[in-house]
Amino acid sequence: MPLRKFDDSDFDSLVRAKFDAAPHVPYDSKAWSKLQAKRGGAPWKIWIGGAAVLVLLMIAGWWIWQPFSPTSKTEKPTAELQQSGTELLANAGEDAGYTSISQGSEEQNGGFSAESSSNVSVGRGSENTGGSPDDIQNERDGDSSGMALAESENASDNAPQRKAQLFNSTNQAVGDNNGSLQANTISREEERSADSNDDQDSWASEMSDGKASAVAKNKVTGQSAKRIAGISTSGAATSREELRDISKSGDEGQASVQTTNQVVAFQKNSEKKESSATTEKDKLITPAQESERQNGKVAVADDDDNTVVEVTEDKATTVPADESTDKVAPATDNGVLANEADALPRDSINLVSKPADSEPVLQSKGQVKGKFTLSLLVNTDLSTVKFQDFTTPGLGIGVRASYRLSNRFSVSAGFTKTNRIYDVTDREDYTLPAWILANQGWPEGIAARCSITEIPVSLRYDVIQGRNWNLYGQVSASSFMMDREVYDFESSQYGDDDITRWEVEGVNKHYFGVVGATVGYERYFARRWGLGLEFYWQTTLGGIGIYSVGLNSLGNHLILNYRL
Amino acid sequence: MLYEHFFGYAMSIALRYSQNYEEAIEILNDSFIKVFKKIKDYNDLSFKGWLRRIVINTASDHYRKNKKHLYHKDIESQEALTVIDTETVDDQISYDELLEAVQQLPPSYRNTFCMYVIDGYKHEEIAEMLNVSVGTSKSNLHRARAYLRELIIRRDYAVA
Repeated sequence: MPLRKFDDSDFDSLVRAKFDAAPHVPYDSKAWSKLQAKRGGAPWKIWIGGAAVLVLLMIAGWWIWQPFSPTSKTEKPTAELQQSGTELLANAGEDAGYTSISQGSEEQNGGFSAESSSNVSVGRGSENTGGSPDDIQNERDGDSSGMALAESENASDNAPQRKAQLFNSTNQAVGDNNGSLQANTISREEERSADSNDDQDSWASEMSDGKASAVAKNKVTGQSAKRIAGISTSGAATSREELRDISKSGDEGQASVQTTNQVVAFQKNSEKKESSATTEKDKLITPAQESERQNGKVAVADDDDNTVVEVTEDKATTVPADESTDKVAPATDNGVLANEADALPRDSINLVSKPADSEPVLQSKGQVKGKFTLSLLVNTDLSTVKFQDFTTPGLGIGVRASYRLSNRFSVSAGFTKTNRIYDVTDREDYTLPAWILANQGWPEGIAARCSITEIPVSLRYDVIQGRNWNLYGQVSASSFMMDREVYDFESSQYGDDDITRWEVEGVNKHYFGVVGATVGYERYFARRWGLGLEFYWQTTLGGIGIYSVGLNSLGNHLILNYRL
Repeated sequence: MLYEHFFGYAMSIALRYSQNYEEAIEILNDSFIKVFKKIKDYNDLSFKGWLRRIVINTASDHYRKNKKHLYHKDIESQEALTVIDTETVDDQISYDELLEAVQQLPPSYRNTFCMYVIDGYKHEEIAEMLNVSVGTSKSNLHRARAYLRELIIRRDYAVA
């Protein structure tokens, strides 16, 4: 038995030899799980969190954007306008001497009240049952629909001719709620003529000195656009959005007309002299009204959504008009005539009801022109290095959010979980790690399967826009997050210890390393839902993956769109 | 898979720089995270050599981070037997027993011993890596060596 001094060198050699011959430690999959946990958890958790944040941002953006939407503004019930319109009319009605014609779809009481014997009142409504003075207060307080057309009959409180005329509008009502024109005729259910001392003065329960008060309350029943065309002294019809009131001051010999959310067109049309005088005017301005025209001026207010009231300069009436007073002056925005001398002849009034569809309706039908669009994508991809050796298509799925910048331009962002499968055979197309190159040499080829999260940012231009479809082009820059890369080395020379597969996860991230161009077509089969198909080409700027492969990809997106 | 392929090799290194298996796993995973992050910068011809360097560096980092919390049992210097049957020692002690003995060393002794005896580092390098002085490194090596020899010889006598 050899006995010798066991010095440090002997001991070190013994230990080193033992450790060099250490047995192979078996692979422990739990260790890999710990590694993943240490790196911050599974990637899918990160992306789900990111998607949730994206959705929240989009919802927030939608809510921020919505109050400024033109559509939403026009669709809001204009209760405020209604109230203000009523008040202004009431104020205007306190002036002396005018004729009012009220029109309303749901009028129960004639849609107006006239409170002067010197006035002519014409009530017009779909369900008008009366227009007696007794209904004045009811009209003011209760009924919220209707249109008033007030005509100042005589500015003078003591005019010798005072007439009050009430037309029941039962047969003339315009169905504003459903947008259909129901009738154009005014049945004169109650007509009253009186002299200055007539009992008609008793109508004016609120007027003490012979002044007339006309009240018309407007009810906003539709959600369509409202336009008012004001009087043009030059004869040209003008229109204004949501002209609230055109008031006529009877005391000052001025006409005031008040209306809310109603299309009212005042048209001075000399070409319609004859025809208007014999048709529409005869229907609307009846003989009872003719007498009112002698001294009155006309103010028109219409509350029906689907009715257009036209005032046409037409002197060819059965009753001679007093040119000096029988005019309707143009209304200004504040409801007061700017120049009475420019007033239209009183007898040139035509009330013309137009079909509902003639009125512009803002985006109530057809596509929803929202600025935000959410898209669900299904991706099919063919990747290649030099447009050679196409392999199995990779599939993917993703989401995208788009924001419309203008009528044709929009931007979008999202992410797509996709697979890129390709082969690399040419050594010039990739970079082999030195350690593999030293130990094993060049492989004959590499078969790559990469799981990628693509985050594109795109700018789109709609080349052709159809009613329900769009043809567009798009350019994009994408970031590639290489979630998993699997490379199989193809070589027959490898031994048992050589690496034939190399797999890495989460190592490479290429920020805006891929650019692409897309041509797409989308069609909306519902107001918000649409399908689309895109064809794209992408190329890498600096190579992707562990081998820095310059990759080209051809593919398509099948898209389901939803417009917010 | 890179991790699986080199797990055994890297683990054998990590084990001798740690007190137990769990600590070795921690060192191993930290080492592979470095590998994944710097794989593109790798240019050495020997991947195993590169990996071993990373594992040892990671182990020394681990020691520096945790040395304030590590239990440090001062081992008195003992006079080891100077005459022994080396073949008997070589035959009787196994790798597992030797590994267990190394893992029982205090961390400072263990790292110094492994780095110097097994992995071939010099005292200057060890001192730099472990942030100690060269004298401390030499002292730690001496104490570690003496402790292990005692364990081995005592065990050898016990076996005999």
